[in-house]
Amino acid sequence: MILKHFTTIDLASGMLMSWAVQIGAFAMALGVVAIVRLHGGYIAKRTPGQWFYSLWMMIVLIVMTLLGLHGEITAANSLANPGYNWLVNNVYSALGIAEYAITGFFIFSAGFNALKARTWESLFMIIACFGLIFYNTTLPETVWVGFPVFGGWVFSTGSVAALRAILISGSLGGIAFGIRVFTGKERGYAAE
Amino acid sequence: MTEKKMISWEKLEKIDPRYLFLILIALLIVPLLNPIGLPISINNTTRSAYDLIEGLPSGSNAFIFIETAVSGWPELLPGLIAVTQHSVQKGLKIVFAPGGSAVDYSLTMERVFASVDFSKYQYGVDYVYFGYFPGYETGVATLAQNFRSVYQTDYQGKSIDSLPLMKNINSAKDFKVATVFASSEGGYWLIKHWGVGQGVPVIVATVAVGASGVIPFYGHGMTGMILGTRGAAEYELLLKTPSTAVKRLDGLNIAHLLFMVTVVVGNIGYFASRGKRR
Repeated sequence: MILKHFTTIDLASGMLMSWAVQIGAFAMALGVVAIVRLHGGYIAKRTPGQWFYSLWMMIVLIVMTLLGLHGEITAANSLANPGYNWLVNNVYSALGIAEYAITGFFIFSAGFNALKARTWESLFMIIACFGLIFYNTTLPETVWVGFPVFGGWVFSTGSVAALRAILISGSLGGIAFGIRVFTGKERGYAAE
Repeated sequence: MTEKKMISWEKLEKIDPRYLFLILIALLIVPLLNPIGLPISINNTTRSAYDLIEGLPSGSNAFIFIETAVSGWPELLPGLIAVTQHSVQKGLKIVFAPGGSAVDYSLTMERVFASVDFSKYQYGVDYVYFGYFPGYETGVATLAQNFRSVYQTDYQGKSIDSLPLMKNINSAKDFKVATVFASSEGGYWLIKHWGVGQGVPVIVATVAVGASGVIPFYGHGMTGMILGTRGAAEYELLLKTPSTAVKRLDGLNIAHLLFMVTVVVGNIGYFASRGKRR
């Protein structure tokens, strides 16, 4: 894969990536087995405060799987099953939107409680936060048109330089870690 | 007297967040019902995205990768509609493919097809819509090399080889532009495997929180960026069709103004009560 990225030598990278896609699909089945084992245990032991939710999760898992498979078998598309389609569109998606919207309120109250200038570092954090708001909203530019220009410069110059440094060093660290795992020198949590 | 004052400062520092939520909701509703229409300047990143599509000749192939669930609609759907509309106006051949977090992609595509005028477009000839592909980043990388190793059929179950548009398309290099609407990692994937890997000009439309992650690639793997609601509003203005995003930007402005006011009030309370405590 590394040779393919940095040279014109293809080797078998395309085939390896196709395999990875197929393995990824099979990993879903493995995930189902793991979930059934975990939550099946909770139900069997009647774990207080947990077993009822586990049971509900199993019911939903079975219903969604059967409805989706029905759509796949009859029309080669899980969304072709009206029940599956209804649950995705009216339950799953609605809950997803609600969950995402609620985070806005959490961020609001977390910002109010956490953004206190207790130290110099936290003061700089507040200034950076306000700077980003000044750049990303249009209200401040009604006061001074230079806000988006200055904010854009900070964002695309200072921020980019710092982030590139972090990205490059993180990637080099990742490669070094990978080599250590492959050569058996890394025996920490991620390598086991 | 002093004790009374101290108590009131402490209250200022510890306002019940539920009151803030109520004020926030009220302030968000007002601009949605009555848009204020604050002026909006155009960022370079959005202009680059617009110019890239605007500069393509009619008939060029455009790849649109949808990597957002319905939860990402407030920030990404207006941009997706605007870019699709622009692509149709320019007569580009469009290939839609959802992956990653876009598990409820059918709803997103319904909105796109309902909002953009495809009346002059013929399915299979001018645009194609594929279903969800698995594999996340690996799926995107595989698509860049060999479309047919990921897709054998389109969303409707038609063979990929029966679609006239796909006859000359089998890898990223067959596209003149690739755009991703990402609420998760999709931007990185397209930049790495299509932009850097295959040299395809990439536009990343991302939720605002994801912008700092992809901005290092601007000009180096990413040609343009549509940054959240603001980016979508700018794109709508460039297209001269101000719509949903422009309205939402007013709400965004007011919410952030309230946020800044509450942070300042909280800090005044914190310093005042700290001084009294000393």
